[in-house]
Amino acid sequence: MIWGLVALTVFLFAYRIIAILPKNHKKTRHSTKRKTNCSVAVFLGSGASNRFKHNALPMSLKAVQGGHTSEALALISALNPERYNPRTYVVCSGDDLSVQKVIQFESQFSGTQKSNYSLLLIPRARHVHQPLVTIPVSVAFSLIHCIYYLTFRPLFDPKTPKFADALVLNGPGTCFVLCIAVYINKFLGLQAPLIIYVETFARVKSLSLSGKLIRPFADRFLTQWPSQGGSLNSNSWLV
Amino acid sequence: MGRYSSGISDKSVGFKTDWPVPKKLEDKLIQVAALTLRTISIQSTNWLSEVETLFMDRYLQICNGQIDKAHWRNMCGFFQRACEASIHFTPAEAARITVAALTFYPAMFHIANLEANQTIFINGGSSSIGAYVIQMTPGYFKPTDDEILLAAVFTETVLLSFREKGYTHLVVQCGNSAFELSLTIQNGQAQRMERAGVEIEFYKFKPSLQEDYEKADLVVSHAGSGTILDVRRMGKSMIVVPNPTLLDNHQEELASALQEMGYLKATKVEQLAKAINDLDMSGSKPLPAFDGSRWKKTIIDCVCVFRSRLPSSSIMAPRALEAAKVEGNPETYEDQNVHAIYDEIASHFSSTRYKPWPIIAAFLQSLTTGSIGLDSGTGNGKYLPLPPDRPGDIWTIGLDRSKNLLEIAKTAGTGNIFREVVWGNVLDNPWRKGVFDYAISIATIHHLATHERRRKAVKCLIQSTSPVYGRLLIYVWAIEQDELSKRKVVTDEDIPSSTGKDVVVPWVLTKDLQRQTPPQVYNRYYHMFAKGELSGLVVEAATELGLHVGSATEGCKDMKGVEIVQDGWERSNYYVELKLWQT
Repeated sequence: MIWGLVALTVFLFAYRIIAILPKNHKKTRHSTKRKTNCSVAVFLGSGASNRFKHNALPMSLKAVQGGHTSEALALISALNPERYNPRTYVVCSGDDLSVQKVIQFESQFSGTQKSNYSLLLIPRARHVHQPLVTIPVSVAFSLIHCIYYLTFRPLFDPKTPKFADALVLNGPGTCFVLCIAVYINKFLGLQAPLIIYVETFARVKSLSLSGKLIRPFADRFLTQWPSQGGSLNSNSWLV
Repeated sequence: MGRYSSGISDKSVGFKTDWPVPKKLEDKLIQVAALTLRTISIQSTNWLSEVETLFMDRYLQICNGQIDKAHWRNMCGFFQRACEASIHFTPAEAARITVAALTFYPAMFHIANLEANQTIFINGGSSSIGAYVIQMTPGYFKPTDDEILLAAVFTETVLLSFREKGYTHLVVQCGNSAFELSLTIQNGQAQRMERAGVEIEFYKFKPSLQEDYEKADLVVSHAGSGTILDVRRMGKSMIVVPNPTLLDNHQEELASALQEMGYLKATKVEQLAKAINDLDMSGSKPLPAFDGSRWKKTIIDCVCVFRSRLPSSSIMAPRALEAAKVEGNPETYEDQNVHAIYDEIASHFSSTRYKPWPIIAAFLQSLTTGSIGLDSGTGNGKYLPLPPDRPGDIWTIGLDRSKNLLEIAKTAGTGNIFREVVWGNVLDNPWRKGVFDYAISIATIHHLATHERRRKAVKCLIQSTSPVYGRLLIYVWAIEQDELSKRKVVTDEDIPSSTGKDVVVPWVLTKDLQRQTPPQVYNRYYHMFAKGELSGLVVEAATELGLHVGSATEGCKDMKGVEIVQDGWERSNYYVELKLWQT
């Protein structure tokens, strides 16, 4: 009897998961209701952190910190600030460089209008050189923060009725945790942002690990180079 | 045994203690080795692990525990192998091998400036420990790739290549590398020196490298995607040295792809001098500018359908446009106030022009399969891929005056199709008469400075399409702007209905969204059309060409004419659709 119930629960669970995955054959627009503006959230990350200090932080680490954030901000810069607001920037705590870049960007971006954006800090899911054993703990900790912003705050705080209409991810590690949080919302039938994943410009031949993980879950998956075997061209460059 | 080479004895490697290598590392190692060897008990059966542990403990004591244990384990492993590999080595000798190995690589790079394919003379003494060291060391002590690149840049060979190419001033950003020269500079300061006839300025960090990039003619760096995009879009030549150790960065893939496309030169550290020598500055293709229109289209397709009206509270009050005065040669006036500007703002302009207007889309949709036509003043080519549901059914050739916009138009739309684009002037009439089945000219002729030139443009359009069945569509900006427009033409005087008004329309360009520079404002010249002016222009042009204006009349033979199929106002534009006929 118990086993029957367990089997039923597992079945329903699996059915629900399959139901909420993006249906790729129907690339229709998700909302036919006409809106005046679209709120967009973008995850800015880097692969580096200062947690596990080394004797000499190699110079190259600074370059790693720049790439993803610059690309994500370039994408946002192409949008019309009057239509795409409020904007939410999700940053890993400790990533001061990205925070500074956002503030500088936003001060120029909206021109004469008042800037309508917010910065959210979430703990990093995985630090560089972090011992494998502690990874589940840091991931869980990060996930809790994501769930708070995506699920709880929209439900209980009238000032922030939803997290965003669209969530733009471009690759750094912790973004997968955000993806999980979005799917939790979808599973429960709550408002969830559409996931748009943009593979970084530096990946010419193969997808990054984040890309491979997020691909089945993203509503739009964009790469900037032609797929395997295609001749090189700049047609799909987004940055 | 080591290789022999005649001469160059001053580049021999020996175990000296007065090298200017990272002093703290070397001093410590010598102390550790000395202390350890004194406490080795050769009688013990696992004297190797004893030595290893002792070595480690002593080192940790001296270094105050600040050592990467994994790195140290590697090193001790080497120590062990050295002992096991030859029964003739005593533990003391094996210990010395380790110490020599640890200081060997810095010696090779900072003192001997070793490069690929060079032979070295090793003075190993009677026990040939030196030779042994060289064979054993790869992989056990390696400077970071940054340090290797920096060291290479400071070598005589590379510096001489720079000088031969005419570079006399070198600016180097060192960061925190343990590279010996960078240890001489304090944070925030720059150091200067001269070597091999090149003036070198080096510093650790700067908040932004933009200024240095701007002053440079050639940039040498690792292949980070952000750096490449920034530097190449500034038009600076670039040599990149991919850093293969950055796992998630995939610098090598990107560098070789961009090299294959001709945008930069990628090389290895050992071949840096050669790369500089071989660099052909003229052959470097400009990197396509940032074009946000593809991304914008994706996000709109995916997420939002916008209501065409914004609630009135958020509309910016339309700015009244300044009047323009056309002076002097109209061609020069247009060059300065239209063409030069579009070349500057091309990519940003393109990202705001992505949505095809319905009447134009419908016009293109109605064309029969196999039609070939002209888009005169194609801009970023947004109409070239249409109609969307039967791509390739008709072929539109785009003509424009702005090379930078044409670069974007060349790859308009999706897929790997190159659009046919022509760089030229709409007034030159470069086409064979009557060659096109259809022609469109959208928001183009309002940039022409005089009435005569605008009429000539319409004439050229008519002449280039088939006199028997050609179809044309022309759009221009109207004085009457609708409520959603950000522009407003001031009508404080009575304007005669046929002459329209000359205005300047500003374009605000934020060159670099992450810098503090104020945005630049470009004032473009436009002639805003008055009601009926466009149709009037068509009538004038047709008359000059000897065409009858109106629909084809039955029964009359040998007549040529143009019919105005529809004309009207739509969303701040006047448009006119024409059909040529011949009986």
